[in-house]
Amino acid sequence: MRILLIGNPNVGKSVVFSQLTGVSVIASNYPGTTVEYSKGELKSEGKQYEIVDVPGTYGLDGTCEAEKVAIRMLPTADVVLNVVDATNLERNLNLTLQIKETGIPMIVLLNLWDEAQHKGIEIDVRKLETFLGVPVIPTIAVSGYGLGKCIEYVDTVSRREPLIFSQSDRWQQIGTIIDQVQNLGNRKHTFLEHLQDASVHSVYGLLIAAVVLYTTLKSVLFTGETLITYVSEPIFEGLYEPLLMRLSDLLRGSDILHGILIGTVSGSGIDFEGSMGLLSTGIYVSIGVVLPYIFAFYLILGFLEDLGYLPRLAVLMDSTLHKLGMHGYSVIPMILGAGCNVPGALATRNLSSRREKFIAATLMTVSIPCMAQLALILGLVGRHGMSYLAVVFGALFSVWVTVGLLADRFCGGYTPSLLMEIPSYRIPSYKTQVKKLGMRIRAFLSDGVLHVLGGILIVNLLYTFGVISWIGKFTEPIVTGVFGLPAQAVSALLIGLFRKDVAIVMLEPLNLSVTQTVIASVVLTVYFPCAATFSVLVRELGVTDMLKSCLIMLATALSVGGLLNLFLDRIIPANYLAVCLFVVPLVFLLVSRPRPEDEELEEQVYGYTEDVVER
Amino acid sequence: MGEELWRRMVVSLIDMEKGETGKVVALCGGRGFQRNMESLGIRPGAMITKKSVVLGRGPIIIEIGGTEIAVGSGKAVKVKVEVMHE
Repeated sequence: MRILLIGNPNVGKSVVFSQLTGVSVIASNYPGTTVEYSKGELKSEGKQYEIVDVPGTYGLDGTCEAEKVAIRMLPTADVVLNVVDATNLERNLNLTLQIKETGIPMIVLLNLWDEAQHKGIEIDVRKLETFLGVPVIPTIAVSGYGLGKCIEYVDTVSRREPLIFSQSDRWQQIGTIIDQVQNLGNRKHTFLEHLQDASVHSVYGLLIAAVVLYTTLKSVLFTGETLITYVSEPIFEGLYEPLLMRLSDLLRGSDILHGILIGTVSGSGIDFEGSMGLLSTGIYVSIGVVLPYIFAFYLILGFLEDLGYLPRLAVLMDSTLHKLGMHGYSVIPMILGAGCNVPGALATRNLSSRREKFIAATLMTVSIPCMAQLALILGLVGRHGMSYLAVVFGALFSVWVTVGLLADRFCGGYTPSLLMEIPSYRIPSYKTQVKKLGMRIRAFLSDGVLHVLGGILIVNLLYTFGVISWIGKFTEPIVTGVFGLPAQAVSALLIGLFRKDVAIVMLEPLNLSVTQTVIASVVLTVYFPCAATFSVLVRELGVTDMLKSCLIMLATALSVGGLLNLFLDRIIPANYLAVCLFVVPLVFLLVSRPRPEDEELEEQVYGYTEDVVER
Repeated sequence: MGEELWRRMVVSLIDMEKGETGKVVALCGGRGFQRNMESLGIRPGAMITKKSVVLGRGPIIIEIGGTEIAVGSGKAVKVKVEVMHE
C-alpha cells in the first residue's frame, strides 16, 4: 500500500516522513527544502506500507519542477496523508479540498498543533472532520505526537467519486469552514515576532543581514581553523604520521604499492600535502582539512536553516538579484552551493522559469567554490596574507556580478517577480540540529572521502602513464600563455573536472608563485563544475542549456585568468586590486536597472499562453 | 462630520501605506498570475495588511491569515486593494 505525504511547502512533511519510516531526510524551516521524493517503509501490526515524502505544493497546477513532481505522483497514491499547517488553516485548505476532489482516500494531519496553540488559534477538530468528511488528526511531527493514530486510520478511509469545484466555489467553501471551525485568540507580540519584523525592515533588515553574513563567515573560518590547529594537525602529526612511517618501511619492497598508498617520502617524514599517496594526502585532505570546514559550515547553516533566516535573506536580496536576472529565492541555491555545489544545483528546481534556473545554476557553479575547495584555498593562498585571499574572493565576486549582469541583458525568457511565504522563526532544537549535522557529515564521509581518494588514484595513474606531460604539450599555449602557469598545471585542471579539492592540492608540488597560486585557485573555481555537479546540472538544465552554461564558464575562466595574469602584481599590487574587485562590481550593481516586466512572458512561465490579460 | 471624511479608495499594494489593512478587490493580471496569487491565499475578498517594504523597490511584505508573504514589486502593482482613507 502506498501512502503519499502531500501538503503546502514548509508544513513539516519531511519531519513526519522521518518519524514514520525512520529514514533520515533533511528538513529545514524554509519552503522548498525537499525537491525530490524519498521513499521509506513502515511496518505496523503485520502490515507493510510504502511511504513517500513529496515536495510541497500550493495547488494541483504546479508552476515549478518541484511542484510538478508532487502532481505527477498524486495518482499513484492509495492513501494521501495531507499535512496541513494548523497555524495557517485557511490557505492550506485550498490544497486539501483539491485533493478531496480527486476522490483519493485521505487523512488530514493538523501539524504544528503546538505552535497554533501558542499563537492562540483554536480549531474545532470534530467540526472540521464533518465538513471535510475525512479523519482529521492534530499532530506535532517533531515530537511524534498524533502520528501513531494516523496510521490506525489508514485502512479505514476509502475512495470516493471525484467531484470538481471552481476556484471561487472552493474559496467560498473554505470561508464557511473557517468561520465555523477556527477561533483566533488575542495574543501578545513575542520577542521572536519582533525580531521577525526587524529582519525584513528596510533599514534594520539590511543591518541584521550584514551582521548575520559577517558572523557566519567569521565563525566558519574560526571554527574550521581551530579544529585544524588543535584537533586534526596534532592527530595527523602525532599519531598518524608515525603509523604511516612504519607502514612505509614495511612496503619498501614493493615500489608500486608504496607509491600509490603513501607516495613520495623524504627523509624527515611525510609531506601530507605533497606526497600524493592514498593514505597520506588522500586521508589528510579529506579528513584533516576539508572535514573541519564542512563541520563548521553545516553547523552554522543548520542553525540558520532551522531558525528560518534564509527566506528573509531572499527577500532582502530580491531587488539586487533581479539585476542579475534572478529573483530573491536564488540566494538559497547560492548558499547551499557554498557547502557543496550538488545540493545547490538541486535547489534550482524551486525556480519556475527556465531562464532563471539557467542563470542561477550558471552563477552558482561559476563563482561559488564549495567548502571542500575553499578549505584548501584558505590554506594555500591564506599563508601568503589576507590581501591575496581577498583578490581570490574579489575576483569571484566580480565574476558573479559581471556574468549576472550580462546574463540579465542577453538571456532570453522571463524572470518572474518574487512570491514567497516567509515562515515564522523557530528556535532550532538541539536534537534535530545534531541529527542533521550528523547526516551531512556522514554523507561527506561516505561520498566525499571516496571521491577524494578516487581523485588521488587517478592522479597517480595519469602520472605513471605519462598522460599529463603528453596533454601538457597541447595545452601549454593556454595554461602558460594565458594564465602564466607552468605547463604541468594542466594536471590540476584535469583533476578539477573530477574533484576540486584534489585539484587545489596538486598545486602544492608545483612550487607556484603567489600570483600563480591566486590565478590557479580562481581558474579552478570558475572553469568547470566537478563531475558530481556536472551530472546533476545536465539533468536539471537539459543538454542544450548545460552546453551553453559550460561555454560561459570556459569563456569566463579564460578572461578572468588572463586578466589576473595581466594585472595582478605586475600593474596593480594585490591589496589595491582586491579593493577594486569589490568596489567596481558593487558600483555597477547599484547603478544598473533590471529588465522590465513582461506580462506575456510571465504567463508562459505559469503555463498559460492564451487569454493573457483578463482585467 | 469627522466620519464622513473617510472614503474608500482602491490602490495597488505598492501605494498602500505601511501598517494599513485592506481588502483585495482585484488581481490585474493573466490567469496564470491569478492562480499563482490565489494558491497563496491572495484572492479577491481576502483581508491583507502591508507590513514593510524592502529598500530599493524590493518586495512588499504582507500579512494574510497570520502568515507573512513577500510579494515582488512586479506582482505587487497588479494587486488592487480597497482601503479606507481620510
